[in-house]
Amino acid sequence: MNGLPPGLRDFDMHAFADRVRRNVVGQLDRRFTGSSDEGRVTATVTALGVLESIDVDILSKRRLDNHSLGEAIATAVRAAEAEAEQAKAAMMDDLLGSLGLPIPRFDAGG
Amino acid sequence: MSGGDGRGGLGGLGGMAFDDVARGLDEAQERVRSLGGLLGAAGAERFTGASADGLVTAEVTGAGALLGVHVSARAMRDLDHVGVGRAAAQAIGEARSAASARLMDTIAELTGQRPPGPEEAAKALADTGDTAERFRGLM
Repeated sequence: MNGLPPGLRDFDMHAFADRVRRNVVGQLDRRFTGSSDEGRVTATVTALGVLESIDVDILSKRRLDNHSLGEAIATAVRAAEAEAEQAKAAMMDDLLGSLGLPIPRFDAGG
Repeated sequence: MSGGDGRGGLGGLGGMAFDDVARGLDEAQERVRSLGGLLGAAGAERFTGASADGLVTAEVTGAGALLGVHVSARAMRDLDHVGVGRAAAQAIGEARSAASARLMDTIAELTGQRPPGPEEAAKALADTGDTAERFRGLM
């Protein structure tokens, strides 16, 4: 048993299941937002990173030209996705950390 | 080792010749390498999607990362602010669907098996109770 990571030596399945329920299933309903153009363009993504909506304020539509508006939309979407990704990473850190396991890092690229 | 053909004793595995095991491992490694190469190539491709009216387009990488959104001059004239947001979300969704379809094709090509789509995955999850319902809502 000595070769096991610290968290696995005294592994408590029920405590881990509770943690999964709280940290994973409990997070599924969360939404993450990102914004640009001083908060006038916002994007909302689900906990799984699926884009749910993009809201463009009437002022952004009036004040920005078409190229700038496209950029503002992309910026808001990327920011929302980064938020969701960060929350997902924190969740994984917590779960793996509770097991004393090393935390792998994956670069999605792009 | 029983010598010669490498069959039996410690040289074999479940009746397989040592050479067969080594060849199998080589083949598996080659498949993993080519899978990695093809998935990498698919990830480096660019995909575009457009809103239903074609007034807004989006470009993503094969991995789905958003590269840009283009709002046409006509969209600025014909759509209101709500419509532009909706069209942009639609265009991004379409671009990502194209990237995802390409990835599925690549995997199917390599493995001979098609990974489950969102609907099939949701159906499989249905057996796991209410968690599946929540997943479906997010798809």
